[in-house]
Parts: sequence; C-alpha cells; structure tokens
Amino acid sequence: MLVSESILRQLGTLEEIDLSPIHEECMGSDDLLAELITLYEKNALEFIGIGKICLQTTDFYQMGLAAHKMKAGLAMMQTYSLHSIVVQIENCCKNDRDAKHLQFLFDCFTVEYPLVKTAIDDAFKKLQKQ
Amino acid sequence: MQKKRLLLAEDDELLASLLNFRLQKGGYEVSLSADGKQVKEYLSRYTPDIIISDIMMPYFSGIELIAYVRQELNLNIPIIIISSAGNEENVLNAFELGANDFISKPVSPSELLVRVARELNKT
Repeated sequence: MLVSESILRQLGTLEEIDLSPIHEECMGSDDLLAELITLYEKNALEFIGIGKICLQTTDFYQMGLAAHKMKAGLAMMQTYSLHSIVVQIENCCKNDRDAKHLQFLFDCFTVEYPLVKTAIDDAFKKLQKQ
Repeated sequence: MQKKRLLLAEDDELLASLLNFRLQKGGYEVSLSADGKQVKEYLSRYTPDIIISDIMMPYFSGIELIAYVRQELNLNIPIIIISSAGNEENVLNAFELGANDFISKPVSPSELLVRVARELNKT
C-alpha cells in the first residue's frame, strides 16, 4: 500500500457526493447526467495517463495545464476532495516545482479517484431511486 | 421566429455537453467547436449571432479568437469569454481586444443563459 493510500484511508477523506445540484442543471435528465458522469470519468482517466507521463519526464508545464483543465469538471460534479488535490498539483507545477511533492499529490489523486468514482455511482443510483 | 445562432468553443467535453444541452433548451441553435481549427472552419462558413469561448483551447486560444473575429473578420457580434480562476490577466486582455462579457468556471448554465440573452438584447 502506498503511503498516500494509507494516509487517505486513515483520514477517511472520502465525502458523500451530492449530485442533486448538477441534476438540477441537467433539468432532471438522468440520461444527460449519466453522460456527464461518463465524461467525468474519461477526463479523470486521461488526467491520470497524462500525469504518469509528465512525472516520468518532469514536465511541470503540461502537468499544470492538465490540472488546470481538470478543475472545472471536478467542481461541477461536487467532487471537492479531488478538486483540492488538483488545485495543489497546479500550484506545485506553477510555483514549487518539487517533483517529489508532485508525485505525492498525484498518488493521492490516483488513490482517491476510485473511491470518488464509487461514491458518484452510489449517488447516481440514489438519485434515480428518488 | 428564427433561432439565434450560437457558437460554443469549449474543449472540455463535460462542460460543453451540459452547456450545449441547456442552451438548446433555451431556444438557441448551438454549434460546438472543440478547438481553434474547428472555430476557424465554422467562422469561414457562418456568422453566428453570438460566440461563447473558453480562453484556453488547443491551436487557437480564446484571446486569439477575439482578435481574429474583431480584427480579421471585422465582426461586431457579442463574445462571452469563459475562464478559470487565476486567469485574470487573460480576462483583461480579452476585454481589451473586444470581449463583451466574461463568466468564470465552474459555469452556471442558468447564469450563462441570462448573460447570452442580455448580450443579444443589446444588439
């Protein structure tokens, strides 16, 4: 188990996700919300892919750009734990440029993401039952 | 009544899908462009009634888009810029080049609809 995974599990950072605001923006359309969740997951997986490459090549610029692009979607889907990590990744790429810290933050993201994905799926099921 | 034509230039599919849905429901004919090449291609064929554009896009930024529309195409159609927090310098550039309005991410579709209607009422 990674150090960051152990920390996250101990802290129990995972919040419950409330999809009702975004569902309202979708005017109650379950189909659109399902599509947005799929795109959200695609973006997160792309970010993980880009992140792995950028960390290998120490490309702070591309990593910062990818983090910047991710922020809006994370906020839109009310996934604030991931949003907070991504904001720190962007700051690290712009200011500190500390590869070790960046790796730590990226590990936090990759550990947190599956937990968030499960929480989103649960929240969507809950919403559909209402 | 003919629908107003709107060009939405946004490379984030997630945001573009939601905005496209809400703008169409709001009665607009929406054309989506995911990058600068598609924007130029669209503008070479059509003139929209309004443009909504992200600042950071592949090939052709929102800033370059404003300059292109105002200086090369010489069009006076309203342009609303979408930008993330921390991009204040770009937003100032956008206004200097002729952007009409600005909305920050995460974008509230309801707010955007009000801003689009307001800009179109001015024309």
